[in-house]
Formats: sequence, structure tokens, C-alpha cells
Amino acid sequence: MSTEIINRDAIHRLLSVIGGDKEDLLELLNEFEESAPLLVGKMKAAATEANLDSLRISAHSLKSNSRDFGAVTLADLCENLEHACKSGEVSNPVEKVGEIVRALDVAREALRGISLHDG
Amino acid sequence: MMDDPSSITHEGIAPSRAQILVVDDNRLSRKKMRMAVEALGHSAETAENGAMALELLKGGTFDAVLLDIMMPEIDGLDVLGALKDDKNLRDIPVIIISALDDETESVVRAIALGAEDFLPKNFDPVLLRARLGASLAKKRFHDQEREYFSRIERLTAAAEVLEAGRFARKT
Repeated sequence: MSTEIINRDAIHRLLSVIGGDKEDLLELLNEFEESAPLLVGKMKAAATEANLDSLRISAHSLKSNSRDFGAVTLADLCENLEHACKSGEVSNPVEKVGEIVRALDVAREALRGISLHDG
Repeated sequence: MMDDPSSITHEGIAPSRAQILVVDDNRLSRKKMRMAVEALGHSAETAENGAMALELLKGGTFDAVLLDIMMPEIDGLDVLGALKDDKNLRDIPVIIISALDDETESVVRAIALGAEDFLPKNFDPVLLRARLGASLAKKRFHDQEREYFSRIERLTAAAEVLEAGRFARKT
């Protein structure tokens, strides 16, 4: 299940980038867990206020973080929203953020099912 | 500052521990970049925004900057512009970090502004090593060149003083 949602190659690459220390990888995963709800909170506020610039920046950050951990669907949704914000045409931003929230929940659940210590 | 910028081997300039500034508003990216830089044997300081980056750059000695483009308020291009306008900082190589999927235009602008190179956000560690290594080698060469010309200037000035002294005694 989790392998369908999370691209493990991305996690292996991340581990390789940071020098192979799995404790460091866990620290980054904790950072992902802590920062994702904050970014989503900013996105919700920005969507409600139709502040596309703020929405774009938060979507950009969540996209980067999701890609680092191989959360492909979540990253793609964030990327689509980021592009829409850049073009100035976002139809129903609140609904778009809602989709991202659901994808984030799925990704976090899948990440919890992956033992980072297994490599 | 690098430990021993004057150490040159017959293969080229020897690698040594460099001081790298990582600039990114995203906490996770900042941590990842710091870990990546330290994994290569260098030390890293981090800045979470453009203003902090410029403050650290003016107060410290950095051998290279890894700079995110998209940041709120003072973005990476603004930081790069300010750095290149400062004669004391303009020789520090800057490697732009970009998502690339929709930032190609910004990367091109950054290169035009004087960025040394760029890296995609999801870079391969081999690529970071190669691009950082090349930038640091250029920086070392430049530092050595500057030191050499500085010595020449001092020697020339000293020679002129001696010369003037001789002429003074004769008259």
C-alpha cells in the first residue's frame, strides 16, 4: 500500500544526499511532519483570502518537501496549485487546498508505514 | 574561510573544509542542505531569509553560498544582486537552488546576474559535490591570485620607499 503512494527511490536519494545517516533522515521526517500542517494552515488562510502569492509560496514549499519524501501525488497537487497561482487563475482555491489536505493525510499515513531504518 | 587555501597538489587545488552559507526559507530544505554540505566535509551556516543572509555575509567569511530563488520578501535574485553589488562579497561563488520545473527564467536571470551555477531542488549528491567542488576551486584560485597581487603591490610600495630613500641620501 505505502509503496504506491511513496516513491522509495526518493527516500533513498534523500538519505544519500545527507550522507547516509538514518538518524538525520528521521530528523528530516520529523521536520516534514511538523512543517506540513503549518504549511497547510497557511494555504487554507491564503485560499480563504484569495491571496494567490502566499498560496503559491506555501504550495511551493510543500511541493519540495513532498518530493524529498517521495509523496508523488501530494507533490503533483501542490505543483498544479503553484502553477495555477502563478498564472493568476485558480478556480476554487479552497477546494484545491482541501484535496491537498487529503493527499497529505494519505502520504503521512503511508510514510508511517515505511520503516526508514530498513533503508 | 577554507582551512588551507594555498595547498596545491599536482592534480590541482586540494579539497579542504570550506564555510558554506545555505539560504532557504523552507526549514526542511535548509536542514537537508546543511546535512548535505556537512556530509561533504564542509561546515554550513544557514539563513532563513534574504535579509539574514546579507547580514551573515557582511559579518562572516564564506567560501560559497547555496541560495534558494523563491523566498518571500527579499528573494534569491535580490540577495544575488546585493551580493554582486558589494565589492567585498562579489567574488563569493553562488549556486542557485531551483525547482527548475517553473523557474527556468529565474535561473537564467540568476546566471546573468553572476551566479556560478545552479542545482535542482532534488539534486543528486554527486552533482552537489561536483558543482560545489568546482566553485570552491575557482574561489581558491581567485583568493590566491588576489593574495599574489596584494603581495606584489606591497613589494612595489616597499621598493618605492627604498628607492626614494636612496635618492634622498644622494641629494
